[in-house]
Amino acid sequence: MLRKALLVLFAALAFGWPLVIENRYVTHIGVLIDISATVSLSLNMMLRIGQLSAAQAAFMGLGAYTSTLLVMRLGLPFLIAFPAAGLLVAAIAAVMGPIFLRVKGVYFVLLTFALGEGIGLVFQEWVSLFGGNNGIHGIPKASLFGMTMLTPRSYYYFALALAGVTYLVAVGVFRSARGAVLDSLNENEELSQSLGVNALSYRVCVFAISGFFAGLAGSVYAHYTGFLSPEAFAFSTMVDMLAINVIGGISSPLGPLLGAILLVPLPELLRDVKQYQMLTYGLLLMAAVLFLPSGIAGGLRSLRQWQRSP
Amino acid sequence: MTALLETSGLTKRFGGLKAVDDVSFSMAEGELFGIIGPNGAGKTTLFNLVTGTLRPTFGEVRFRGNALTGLKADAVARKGIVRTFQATTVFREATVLDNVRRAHLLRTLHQPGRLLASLIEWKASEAEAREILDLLELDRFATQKARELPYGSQKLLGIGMALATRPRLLLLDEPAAGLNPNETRALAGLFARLRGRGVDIVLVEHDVRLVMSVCDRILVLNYGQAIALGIPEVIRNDPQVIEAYLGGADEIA
Amino acid sequence: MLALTLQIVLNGLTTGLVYVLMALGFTLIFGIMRVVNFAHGELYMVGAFAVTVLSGKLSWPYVPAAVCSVILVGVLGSLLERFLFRRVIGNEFNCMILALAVSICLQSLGLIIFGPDEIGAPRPVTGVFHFGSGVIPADRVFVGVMAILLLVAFYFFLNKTHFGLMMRAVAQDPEVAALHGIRPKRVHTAAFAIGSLLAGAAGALMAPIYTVFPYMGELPMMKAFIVVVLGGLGSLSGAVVGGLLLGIVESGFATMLGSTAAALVAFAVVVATITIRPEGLMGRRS
Repeated sequence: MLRKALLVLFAALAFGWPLVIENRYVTHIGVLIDISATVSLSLNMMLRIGQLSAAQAAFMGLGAYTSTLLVMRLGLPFLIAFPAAGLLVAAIAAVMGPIFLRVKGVYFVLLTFALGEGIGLVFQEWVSLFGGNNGIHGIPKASLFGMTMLTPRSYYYFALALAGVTYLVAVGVFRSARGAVLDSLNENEELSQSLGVNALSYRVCVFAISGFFAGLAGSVYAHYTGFLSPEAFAFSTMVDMLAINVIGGISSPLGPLLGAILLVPLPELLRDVKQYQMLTYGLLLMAAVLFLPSGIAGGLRSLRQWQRSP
Repeated sequence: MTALLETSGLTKRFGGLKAVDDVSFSMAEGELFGIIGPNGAGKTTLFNLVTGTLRPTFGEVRFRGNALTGLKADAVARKGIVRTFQATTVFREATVLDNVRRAHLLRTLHQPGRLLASLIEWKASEAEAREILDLLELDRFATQKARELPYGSQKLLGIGMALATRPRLLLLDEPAAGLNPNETRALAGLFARLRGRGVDIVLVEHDVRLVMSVCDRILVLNYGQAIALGIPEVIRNDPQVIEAYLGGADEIA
Repeated sequence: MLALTLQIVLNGLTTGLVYVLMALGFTLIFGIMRVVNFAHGELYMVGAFAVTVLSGKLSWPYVPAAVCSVILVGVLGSLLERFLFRRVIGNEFNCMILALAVSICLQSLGLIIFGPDEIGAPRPVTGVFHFGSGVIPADRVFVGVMAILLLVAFYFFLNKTHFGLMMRAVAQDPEVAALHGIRPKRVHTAAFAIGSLLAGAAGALMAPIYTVFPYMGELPMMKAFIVVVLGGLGSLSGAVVGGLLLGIVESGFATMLGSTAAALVAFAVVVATITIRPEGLMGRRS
C-alpha cells in the first residue's frame, strides 16, 4: 500500500515538475532520462530472464534509423513511423531469437555484443542509407495529430509516457501467471521443460518485447535531437544502460528507473571536470558491484526488511 | 492393438562407447513396465532417449504409433509422456500445494500465446492439486515449503507435479532411490492407485524386489543391451539375468 | 600474385602474433577464473603508456623500458585480482560488470593523466628487411621476434614448471585440483597477473609502431575477443591458431575489401560460431 502511494507520488512529481521549473536545460535532461530509462527497462526485462543482451543499444539505433528513414525518405508521418520503428525491431528480435536464445550465460553476452558491434558497423558503412559516420542531419520534429512537438517540454511528456508504459509492461510481464512461468524457468529450466514448457518461445517473446521498446526509444531520440550518428548507439551507450541497471538494481523495474535518474544527469553535474565524469562513473559501477550487488532498489528493499524485523 | 510406447533398434553412442545398444521393446496400454539392470547398464541413458533429453544415434521411439525420435524434452512432455528426476527436483521455495498447482500451470501455459487461459486455470488448479496431494498422502504438508519436506516426500512431490500435467504415461526415474523400506512399500501402494486412475507407468529402478513385485513386464539391460524381456517369473529364472546380477543374486530371489 | 600473397602473409603474421599475445592473456583469465576480462584492452594501453613514459620521457633504452612496463602491468593485474575480482569470483555476471568498471576507470585515468592526444614512443629499430619479394619493416620484425620469445617462455612456463602444471590443473577441474592441495587463490592471482602481463607486453611492443592514446585498447580488445571466440574460450592452442589465422585473413581481406568489411565479416563469423559451436574451433564442450 505504501509502495503504491509512493509510486503515485513519484509519478505525480515526474509529471508535475516541468510545470513549476521552467528551465529548458533541465527539461532536456529530463527527456534524456526518460529515453534512457526506456532502453534500460528493455534491458532489465532480459536481465530478469537471466540473459544479458548487449544488443539493446543497437536495437535503439535500429529504431532510430528506421523511424528517421520512414519519415525522411518515405514521407510517412511520425504517428506511423514511431510504432513502425518499434515493430520492426521487435520483428528482427523475433526472427533472431529462436537462433540466438538457445545460447545462454556468458556466450549470449558475447553473441549480442558481436551483433551490436556488427550492426554499428553497418550504420557506419552503409553510407547511402544511414549516412555513415556523419550520420543523418535535419531529422524532422515529431508531430502528433497535426501538432508538431517543438519544445523540450513536449518531448519530455511524450518520453515520460513512453517510459511509463514501458515500466508498466516490465512489471506486467513478470506478474501473475506469465511471471510464474518465467520465474519457474529461471529457477529450474530443466524441471519446467520436463513439465512441458517451451522455454525458447517464452524467451523469444521477452526478447521481442524488449526490442520493441528499445526501438520506440530510438525513434523518440532521433526526432528529439534531430540528428543521428552511429556513435550514439555504440558499446559505450550499452555500458550506460547496463550501469543504470546494475546501480539501480536488476530484480525490479524500479531499479533502472532510479538508476536512470541518478546516472543520466551525472555528466551534466560534472560538466566542468569532464575527465572526472568517466572516473566517477566507473567508480560508482565498481562500488555497486562490490558493495551493493542488488543495486539501489535492492538496497532499499533490504533496508525496509531490516526496519521491519524486530 | 498399437503399443503405447515402443522403441526399435534404439542406440546411443558416446564416442566409442555404446551406452545403449540396439534396444527394442514395446509396452502395451494398462501395463506397469519396469526397466532394470546393474550399474552402468544404460538404464538412465535409455530413459533420457525416450524423454527427449538425449538424441539417439540410431533407432526410433514411438508413442501411440507416432514417432518421438528427435523431439526435445518439452515437446515429448506435451505429447503426454512426463518424467520425474532422480534428484529431488521441485520448486524449493514454493509451498507443496503451489508446486503441484504450478506444474499444472506450466503445462497449460507451455507457450506464451496461451496466456488467456491462465487466470481460469490457476483458480481451477487448486482442487485438482489437493486431490493429487491426497492421493500421494502429502496433504498434511500442503502449506509447507517444498524444501522443508523429508527426502522421500520431496520425491513423491515430484511425482505429484508430473501427475498435475495429466500425463498419459509416467516415466519414473528411480523413484525408490533413497527411500527406506516403509516408504518403498508406500510407493508400491501408490502405483496401484495410479493404475486405478488409468495412468500407465514405466519404471526405471535399481530396487529389483520392488520391480518384481509391482511390474507386469520387465526389461533387463546389461552393457547397454536388452538381455531379457518378460513377466517377473520368467525374468527371475532367466540365466542371463542371474549372471548379470552375479553377486546380487540374493536380491532377485 | 605470389608476391602479393607473401606480403599479405608477412603483414598478417606480425599483427597475428600480437593478436596471439592478447588472445592468450584473455583466454587464460577466462579459462582459469571464468572472468570475461573487459579491461584487457586497458591493460594493453597501460603497457603502451608505461613504455612511452620510460623510453620516451625518461629516455631509457627500449628493452629495459619494455621489460619494466610488462612487469608493471603484471603487478597491476595481480592487484586487480587480489583486491577486486577475488571478491566477486563465482558470479559471472558481476565479474563481467566489474571488468567493465575497471576498464572505464583505467581509461579515464589515462585521460586524466595523459590527456586525449595521441603520443608516440621512440622506435627501437629502424629500416626494412627484404624477405624474398616482400618488404617488412624492421620494427615489425622486432615485434614478431619478441612476441615469439615471449610465447616460447609462456609455453615453457605452462608445460615445464610446477606452477604451470598447477594452473593447467585448475583450468581443467578446480575441485579436483583443490583436492590435490592446490590453492586456487594463488593460481587465480597468477593467472590474472600473467594474462595482464601478456596484454601489457602486446601494448609495449606496439607502442613504437602505432600511436599511444587512452582509447587505444579498444581495438586490440575486439581482436582478442574475436580470436578467443573462434579458437574457443579457455583454449590456449585455439588462441594461438586463431590469432595467427585472424592476422592473415584480416590482412588479406583488408587488402582486398577494406578494413571495415573485414571487421563485419569477422563479427558475422563470431555470431555464427557462438550459435553453432559455442566452444569454438578448438575448445572443449563444458
